[in-house]
Amino acid sequence: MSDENVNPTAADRPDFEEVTQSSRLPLLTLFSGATVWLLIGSLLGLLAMAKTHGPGFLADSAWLTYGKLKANSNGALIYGFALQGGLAVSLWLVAALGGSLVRLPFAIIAGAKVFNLAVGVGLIGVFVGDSTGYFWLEFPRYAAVLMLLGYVGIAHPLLLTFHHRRERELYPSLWFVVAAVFWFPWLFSSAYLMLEVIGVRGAVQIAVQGWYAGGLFALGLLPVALAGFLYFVPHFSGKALSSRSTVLFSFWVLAFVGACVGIPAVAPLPAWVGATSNAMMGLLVVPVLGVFVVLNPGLSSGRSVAGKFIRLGLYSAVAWAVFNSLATFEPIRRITSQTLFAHALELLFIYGVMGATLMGTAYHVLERFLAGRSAAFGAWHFQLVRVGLAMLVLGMLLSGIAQGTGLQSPDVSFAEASRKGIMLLRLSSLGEALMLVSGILFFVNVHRVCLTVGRELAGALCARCCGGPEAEVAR
Amino acid sequence: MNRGPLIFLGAFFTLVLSWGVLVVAPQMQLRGQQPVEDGLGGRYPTASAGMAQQGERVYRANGCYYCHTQNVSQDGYYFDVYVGDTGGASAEQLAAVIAQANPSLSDEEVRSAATSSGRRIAAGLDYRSKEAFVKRFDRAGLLAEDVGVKLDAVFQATGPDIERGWGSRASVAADHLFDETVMIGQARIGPDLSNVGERLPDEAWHYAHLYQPDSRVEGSKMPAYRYLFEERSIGDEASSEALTGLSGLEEGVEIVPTDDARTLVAYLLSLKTGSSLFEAPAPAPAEAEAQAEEEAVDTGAEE
Repeated sequence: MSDENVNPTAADRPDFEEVTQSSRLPLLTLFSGATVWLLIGSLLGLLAMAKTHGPGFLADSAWLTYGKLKANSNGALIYGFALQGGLAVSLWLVAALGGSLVRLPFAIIAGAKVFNLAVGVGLIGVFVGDSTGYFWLEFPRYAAVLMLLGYVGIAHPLLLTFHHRRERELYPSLWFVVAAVFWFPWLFSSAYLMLEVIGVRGAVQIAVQGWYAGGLFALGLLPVALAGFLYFVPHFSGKALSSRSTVLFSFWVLAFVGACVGIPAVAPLPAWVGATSNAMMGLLVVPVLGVFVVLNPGLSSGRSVAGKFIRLGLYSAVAWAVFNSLATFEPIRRITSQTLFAHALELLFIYGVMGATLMGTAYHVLERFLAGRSAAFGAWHFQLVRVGLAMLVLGMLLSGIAQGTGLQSPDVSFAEASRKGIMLLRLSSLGEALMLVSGILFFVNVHRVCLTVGRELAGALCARCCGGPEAEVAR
Repeated sequence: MNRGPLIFLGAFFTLVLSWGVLVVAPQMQLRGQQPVEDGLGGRYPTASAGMAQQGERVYRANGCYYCHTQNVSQDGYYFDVYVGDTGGASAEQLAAVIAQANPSLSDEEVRSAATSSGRRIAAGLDYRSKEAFVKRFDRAGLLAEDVGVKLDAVFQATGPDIERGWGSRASVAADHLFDETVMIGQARIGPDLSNVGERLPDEAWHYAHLYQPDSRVEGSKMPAYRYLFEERSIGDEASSEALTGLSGLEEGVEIVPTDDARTLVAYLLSLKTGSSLFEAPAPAPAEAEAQAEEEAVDTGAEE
């Protein structure tokens, strides 16, 4: 076993401080963008939830239907928050593990601006009624093109940084990160081309949509979270990965299974399509459990906020994969299909798997930027996320099961079956509200560091340019 | 695994593989799909009229697919088997056919089946598919052919969605052949709409339901879509399009649907999946009608 497996950072290297410094502006840009979209996404999600309890709420506004609110909540959370934050995590891993300075930092910042603009334009597009009608691909064409441009702006410096790495041996995290950086734009552009530009006919659209949606989670986002776990858990505990080959196996299983998981088992398509996809979804638990088993020895230690978030992310990932896998079995699938069960797991993925991972990463790097001082409210933030996430996800999972059970017997009227679900959905709404509050704390924490760093940079700039206060001191 | 290009190639290869299997293969299978005879002298599916097509865009823009699915699932079929035409077979031959068709019948039951008016041999046989059922009756069918007896079967699709009345069969690819955007939905926050045009064919009902859901469905959780309607003061004469049966309206005010509401309702009314298809047989409407007529005759006799 090589040394890299024991302590997977180049932190001991003398020039590591330089690496940290070079990543500072791009990372803060990406994280601050992600926190804004987290707030917006949670707020829209909460408004949508409120509409399920009081149908009269905001009923007169054409802009604020449940469908539009939910589509935009998903859009803001998936792209603005999880994908952008995921890129920040990837960038940190590539820089830290490769021991290389971040290349073209200003291209990343420009890319992030374009990306954020695109998400904003996409949300407005959906609000005014330009939605494409495909789950998670709702952003209209003008926003989608812009978003892809922004993504490329961020991703190509990331790959350059990877290319110029000083550690030639690849730590397993980097396999996942590099693959995901390619997977997302391929998936997004091909799904978009097929649905909106070429326009495939009829039910094939369902196949394309499912292929994209499954791939987005399993290949575009999940690898980033797994890479984060593989880096941080050994880093915090000082215990090496117990087996590199298990991780290698997990990586290839994920690669083969991941893009096949999204098509619903019962869909108006030839039966083999849904059945294949369903079977693959059942197998998705394998790579996640593989990573969990490898990391298990190091899970008990780590008392820092960052460590807690990473652990929460890993447990969420295991829960997500296990629930998804269970729901592929016929007796359970019958009850859970076409209820909010699936959406509960999506939220577990966005807030739990991706959210906790990128929050953990953010706290870790923020602490470095503050030279060891820890961010305020970190512990509060963690508790809120933990409680909010549990309520949000459990409430909605149970709501889905309650409604699904009711719908199984034709004697129970639709209204009766839904009523059972809606009671439990209240718990979920409360959880969503807590997530919104936790989002505010996260926003404050990230932006305080941004301000501190901004002041430092401004001071340095003044000094270099016209001899500011620091220059005076030096003299 | 220490090389970037290896990861790149691996990622590319696995993604292309999944694309080939789950996107290209279904496309090859479905690309030749065309409308077929629906057994009623028409063809199914047909492209929607302009109004309904506009309505599909309203449905899409408002995100209706977040609460409504268009995806009915089905468990299997129930079959009722009976002797259609005895074709001059003797009572013994008839009994032999019946015994072969349903070996679980006792001699007594076979006799009564052969002599009863409906000549029903089996009721509520549960099969996953029509093929499985046909296979089961292969030998009985051959025997019946020899002696000139005709076996008939009436079937019905089964499953919670079907029994709930959301459709007469499972949703299949053909149902979406002419959809501009296929929106099968994800969660049933509201009821399934695959067959809503047949289930609820009244235009006025839909207008009132969109404007004031609980005026038509008690305790409905659907938000009101009041912005799809115009509130006008009644002039000299009330509009013929004004909504009726609403509660809490001010005196001298009428509610008239906008173009968006009109096209949306046209779209909802165009959602019909009653046609029987090879891949998803549905009970022929003729039989359903005959049954309805019978019932009508029954109630008529009672009155």
